[in-house]
Amino acid sequence: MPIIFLCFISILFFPMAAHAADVSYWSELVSFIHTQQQAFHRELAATIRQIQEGGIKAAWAMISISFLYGVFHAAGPGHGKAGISTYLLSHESQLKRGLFLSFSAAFVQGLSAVLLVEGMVGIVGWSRQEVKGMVPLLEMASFGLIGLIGLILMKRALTSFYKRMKARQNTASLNFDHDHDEKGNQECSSCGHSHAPSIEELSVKTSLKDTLAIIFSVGIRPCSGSVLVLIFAEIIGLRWAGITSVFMISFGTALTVSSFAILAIYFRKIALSIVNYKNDSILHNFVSLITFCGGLLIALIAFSLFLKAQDYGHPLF
Amino acid sequence: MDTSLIFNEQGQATGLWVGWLFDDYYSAFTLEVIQRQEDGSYDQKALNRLAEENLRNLSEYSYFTFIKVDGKQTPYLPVTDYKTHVSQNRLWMEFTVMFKDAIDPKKHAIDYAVYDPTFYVEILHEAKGDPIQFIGTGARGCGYALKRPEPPEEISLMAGMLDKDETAGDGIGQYFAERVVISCP
Repeated sequence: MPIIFLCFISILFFPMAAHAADVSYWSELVSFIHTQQQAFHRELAATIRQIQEGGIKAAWAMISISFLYGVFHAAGPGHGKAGISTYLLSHESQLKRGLFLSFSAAFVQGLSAVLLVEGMVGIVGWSRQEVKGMVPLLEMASFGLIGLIGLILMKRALTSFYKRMKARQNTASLNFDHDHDEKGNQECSSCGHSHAPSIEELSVKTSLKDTLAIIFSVGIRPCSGSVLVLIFAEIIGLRWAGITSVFMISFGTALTVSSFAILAIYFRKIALSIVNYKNDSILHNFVSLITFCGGLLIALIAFSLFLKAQDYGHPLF
Repeated sequence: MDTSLIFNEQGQATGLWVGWLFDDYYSAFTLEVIQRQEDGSYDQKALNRLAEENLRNLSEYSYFTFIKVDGKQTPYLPVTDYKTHVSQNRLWMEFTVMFKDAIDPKKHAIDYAVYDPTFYVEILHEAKGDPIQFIGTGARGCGYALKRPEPPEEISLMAGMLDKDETAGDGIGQYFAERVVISCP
């Protein structure tokens, strides 16, 4: 069963896991996505220029290119794809919740770019260079928080695993020959004898707090592509075009991220339903394993991005 | 980007002329702080200062220009010759890298690439027109081949993970560079 999980992880984190068979396909896909998003980003600047030169028709082009840029750009890291998917993989969630998470995170990310550029330049009076310098700091904050979520997931997995072990020991010594009538018995509620535990019972308790934490930690980091678009639009005097574009980028991003979210939710459902037939104590451990591995992966990726996000000098900037 | 290899009359390569047309984002971002004249054009002195500063910074990165002679990086002199202007809101900068020693392309294999070693800025030859030229009568009979980048798979996977404003550290850029191979039979 971990195979399904591994498959999913390899889709999610393909650069690391792709050293298996289909490396060349992945490599082609990755470079295709990379080239596409850069082309869209360049084209976006050109269409904003066209609007400036009086072509209101160009507004539609700008909107659709922004959207496409968002779709392709979100395939890269740092848009909460990994964090949200792993969370959904390890926690029982409705489709609705997955979509809500993806769309809110993307929206907040767009909002944070708009607030950063418009707020800081327009209200606080920062220079655009200063604003650009802020981006790495916010990125570090975001990656740090996401890493923290990874650690929390790991801790949750260990705690629930430990509790179950303890409960099993207790029940083994106390109620050695209990029968299935004891299903409701408090002592035995998690000892693995109920034959059809609902998935809600099994998953680690999720809460509104989790949702908000994820949206905040993903969203606090403005997408650097959006920041460039906003600064560009502002300089040439088309602030509203920039803001519209950024929210269309967010919409595109949300679409990509939510397709990963949907995949995660169904992978979880299928994986659990297969394991469920065999043995539900395995099921418990499986959920813990997913949570632990997912948390570990998020933490590793986030902290490595955290280290990379630090400001650096570039000869042309 | 346009590039031109410069030849002397003896048919030796003496330098490389490089012209960059910056993208809309970089142009708008840097030109924003440049004073404008009444007719809306940019102050040439300020543009020159910008170019000089960029070239000074670039000198530590061998001007993003990497010329190999028989597979070895050839040394060159500091850039003194440059021009810059703005056309259709985009910044243009051209400069010439002179080699320390003239190279005979009949005796040595020459190839060059212009790229950002940190893989932050993508530098590609113009898709339209004739972006690669030879300057000087000594170039007669020479030809070139433009090799598109073929990054190793692991490298391209890793690069795909990078975001717009992340750098991969020095060195990865060379895998994504276009390489111009010179042949003078």
